[in-house]
Amino acid sequence: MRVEPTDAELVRRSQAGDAEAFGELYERYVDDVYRFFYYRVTQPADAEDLTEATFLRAWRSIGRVKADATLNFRAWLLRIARNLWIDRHRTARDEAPLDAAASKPAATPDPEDALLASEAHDDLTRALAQLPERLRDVVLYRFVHGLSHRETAALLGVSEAHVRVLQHRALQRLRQWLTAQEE
Amino acid sequence: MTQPPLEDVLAWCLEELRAGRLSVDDCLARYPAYRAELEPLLRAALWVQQQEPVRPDPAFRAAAKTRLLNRIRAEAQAPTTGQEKTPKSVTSGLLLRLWGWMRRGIPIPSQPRWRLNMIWALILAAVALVAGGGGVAYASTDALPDDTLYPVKLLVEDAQLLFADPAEDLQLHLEFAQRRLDEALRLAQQGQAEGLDRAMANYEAHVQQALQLAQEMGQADPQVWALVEAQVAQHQERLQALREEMAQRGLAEAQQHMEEAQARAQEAHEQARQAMEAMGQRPEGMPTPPFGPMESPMPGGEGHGEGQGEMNGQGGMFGGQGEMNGNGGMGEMEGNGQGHGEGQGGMMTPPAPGGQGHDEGQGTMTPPSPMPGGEGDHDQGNMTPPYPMPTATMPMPGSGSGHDGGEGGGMPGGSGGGSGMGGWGNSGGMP
Repeated sequence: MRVEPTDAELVRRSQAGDAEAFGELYERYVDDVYRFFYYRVTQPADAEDLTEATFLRAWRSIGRVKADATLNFRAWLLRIARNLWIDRHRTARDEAPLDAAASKPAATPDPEDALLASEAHDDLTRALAQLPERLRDVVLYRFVHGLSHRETAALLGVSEAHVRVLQHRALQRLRQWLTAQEE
Repeated sequence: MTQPPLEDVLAWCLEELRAGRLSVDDCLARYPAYRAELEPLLRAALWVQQQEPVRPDPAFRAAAKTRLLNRIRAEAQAPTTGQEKTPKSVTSGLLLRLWGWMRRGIPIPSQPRWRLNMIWALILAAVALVAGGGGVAYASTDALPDDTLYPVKLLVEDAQLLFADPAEDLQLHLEFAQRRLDEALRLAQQGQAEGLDRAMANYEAHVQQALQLAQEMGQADPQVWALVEAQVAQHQERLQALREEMAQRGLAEAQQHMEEAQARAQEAHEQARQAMEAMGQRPEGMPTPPFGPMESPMPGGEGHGEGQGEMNGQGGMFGGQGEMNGNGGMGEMEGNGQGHGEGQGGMMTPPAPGGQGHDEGQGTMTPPSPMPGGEGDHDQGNMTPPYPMPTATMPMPGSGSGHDGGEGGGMPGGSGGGSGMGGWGNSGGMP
């Protein structure tokens, strides 16, 4: 039975120049990175571009990663994605607001799947669109990416107590939105 | 018995749900007083989690991987691109050599290392003192990486490090790291890309040195790690501001250094947290069950938010450390809503009535008023103390950083939070 290498092992191999090992890390986390951007951009193609750019940046910085048992590669990767997003977002002030994303096409190729996915994702996209950026970040990190309070705090550069406060506010807003949809 | 703040109960329930240890009903049964508020919030969180996870187009996924690997292989063959593995130096050129020799001794086998170290120490100190005596050192304090006097500035810093004991050494490295970020920020504000990479590389080197020192010194001294954590938290704030400034001005040249500096800061912060937790100096990130009888030091209806507070005692919120004993008079909640305060060393006033906010900082800070309408972002920089600086358990830097977030534009029933360096505590809110 093949034992899957740990992230730390793959990182160490990547640091030694093993492109295939980095490819394995890509396979593991490409969905996460794509999701990070999907809910922030207007077109899936933009999410794709940014996903690719994130992995390229990650490769260039992988020499700095401490590949030991404490490694949280996903959190590290999401930080790179967040930094990339900040860089792009701040330089492109004319980026369309998130609510314009409600009508974006789904990324899934199959038309039937695309339709189903589109409906499902649109709800979440619309719900997220009415949140301020920071609250949206918390919802995405906590409930879409499944990060812990601590990981979320580290990514946002705030305390865990602050994350709990933001989470509370974000869920209140979401609840209001959901209630309004039901009425 | 006082109930913990709703946001903490919510956070705990969400973790329990995620771990599959409790159901929504279990959580609600445990907190009947919060049932009406808690249930819709938990359901909202579950609703998000139940949404179909979006995935990239398989064709894109495969094509992007091929492109990525091709690019990696191409870069690996080009010596000037790809991974950067060269360690950063604190100084460069002559300064680097001097520094290395002082640390390791001049590589001449016939001389005892301590004697050579001393010789170089004296040479360096003499240079620094001469420069300082002539006013050059003073004039260099505002120098930026590309200024003529910048090497003098670094030389003076090196001299300071040379004569410092390990504890001072640690503090100086952290201080100089902050200085590099300040310089980088000033460069970015002036739209100058040149010198940014140098400042960032130097920042990383100082943080790395600080971490090494902390590892050597901090085995049994949590204050060492508390200092590292607090200072690096400030660095992270400054890095974020720098990143935004660079992005705004299109300074893409130093992006990689920026990335690495942020990674370094995050690593340092995490290391400090882990060290402190290992020493039992602060509560784990998540509250631990059971809530059971909880003794919140802050009664629910009063909402004291304390700025200065030494944390003493156990058995506060969630069974962790949570009681604040300190001078709390200055920070009494005046607002409607819940207060959530944690801190030490900072004099914090909770958000004014009618807003929601969260302030955190270190040193003395004057929290900005809640911003009406919309989510607030970061404020950082030097903050003018309106009150006398309270006693701190460790040297406090002259600058503070903080977040402030406000939303709701004067809505009653808001919530506020505050945190500062070192202390942990919670306060209940006004109904």
